[in-house]
Amino acid sequence: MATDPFMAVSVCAAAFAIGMGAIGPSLGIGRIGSAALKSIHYQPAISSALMKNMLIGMAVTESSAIFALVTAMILLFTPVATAGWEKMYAIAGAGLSIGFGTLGSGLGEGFIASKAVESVGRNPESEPVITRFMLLTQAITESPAVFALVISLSLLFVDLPKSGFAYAVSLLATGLCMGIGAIGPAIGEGYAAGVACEAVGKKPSSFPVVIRTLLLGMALAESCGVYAMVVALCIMYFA
Amino acid sequence: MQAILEKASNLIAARKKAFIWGSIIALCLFEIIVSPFVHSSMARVTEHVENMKVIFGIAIPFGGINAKVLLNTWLIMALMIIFALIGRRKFETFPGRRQGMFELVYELFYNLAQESLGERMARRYTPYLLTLFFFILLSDWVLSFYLFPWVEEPTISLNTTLALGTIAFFVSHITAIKEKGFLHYISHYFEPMIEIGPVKIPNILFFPIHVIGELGKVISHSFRLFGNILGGAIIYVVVSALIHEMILPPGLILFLGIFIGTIQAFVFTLLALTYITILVGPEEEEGENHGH
Repeated sequence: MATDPFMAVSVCAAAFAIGMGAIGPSLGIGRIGSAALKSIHYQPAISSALMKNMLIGMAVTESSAIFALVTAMILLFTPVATAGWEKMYAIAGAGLSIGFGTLGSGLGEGFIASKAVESVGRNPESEPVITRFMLLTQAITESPAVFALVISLSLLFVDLPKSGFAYAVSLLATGLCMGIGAIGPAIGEGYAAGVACEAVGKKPSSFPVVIRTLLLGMALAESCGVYAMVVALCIMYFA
Repeated sequence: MQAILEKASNLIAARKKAFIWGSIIALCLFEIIVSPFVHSSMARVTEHVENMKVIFGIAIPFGGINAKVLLNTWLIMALMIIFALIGRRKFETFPGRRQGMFELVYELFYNLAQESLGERMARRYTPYLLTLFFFILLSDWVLSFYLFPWVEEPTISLNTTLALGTIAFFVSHITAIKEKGFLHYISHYFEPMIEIGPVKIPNILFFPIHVIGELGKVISHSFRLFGNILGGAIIYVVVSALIHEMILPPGLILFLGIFIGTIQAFVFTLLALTYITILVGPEEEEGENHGH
């Protein structure tokens, strides 16, 4: 078993998946924590509400890291494949995809939640609106990491339509495409939503207008991530 | 008088805290005592992975039934029906504790829907949102009964979450067609329009972008829930097997199952509501006077 090349590739892919995949969410969560501490310093009286928002934001940002951890565990503890060049490269592609994919989501969601916590500190009465806004936009910013997870799981578990060395390398390309393609959209959406969160915090009555415009913009930014996923799937099935 | 009120509220707060802490500690103790006798090992992870292979590889062509998921879905449906029957036992004008609790939850979603959709549509769609929310919530909370070997969350299977996502997709689009009319609905796919003077030409370039965006919405909606729940389950099983089910599993269940499950249920429902809101469009003509 120690000389089994599939185990070797699985272990490397798992290491990359969780090693690279922990960078983004942890940076984001640290940012949330620092914003919460700053707000608690300015407004110690509402520290419980601030901590509540901080914990909720951190938990949602953590789910990107959970995706990476789950892929790593699947790669480590279950025999994903036993035969074929293609499966070996597919495993490597899966590790690449989820490893890179959670970077943007973690950073974006962390930015949103940090702005949300600051807004609650500045305007505690609008706390329900801000929390709702934060959860909604964090969920949408999560989408590129979700796409990366989808591609990872497809690479691991789908019966591959073709065979051959060129196809094997193209599976690696699939993972790389989706992984790197998921970084940008999430960071962009996170930045937009964070600034919008600040705006809603200052004037909660503008929630409907802001959310409508923001979601339109975020949908356009997300379409870049969807392009990456479409191209990744095309490489896997049609090229 | 003030002193008595204060003492009463302190007593109530202390009792509430004692109740919550007591129940958490009792649950943990129960699961610690019973856990060595529970079959929980790597076999469960492999089982989940086999499950995913079936879904992704489409090995069972439409004729296969995932019995465990189906039975658990029925279990949760039974729980929800019992819950609802308890709730509507007797309606009073001045609600007691039982009715007050149900009204609290109903009002939470009714207010959310009313802000976004307006009163008429909120009344129609609140039951849908409540059902969605409670289905996902109960299906995560049922994980607390993990000691029964046949009980697991139905959302652990991609089928359930894809079904929920597809339902949300169809509800939002059909609502949009019904409210706005088919032409107005289709014109949304060609926004932003090219304007030459007074004439607006539909912009064909944006059509594939919008279509792909809609499909991406469905995929991300379902897979987010699936990834979080399945991820939590796999982490729980693997970590428990690594530490031989010692002290930690109940804490993991609390965080991964109940906390994250509640957040994900709320996020799913909120997103379903938001998809309806965006597609139906601006409600300024409904008389939203939130002060400009």
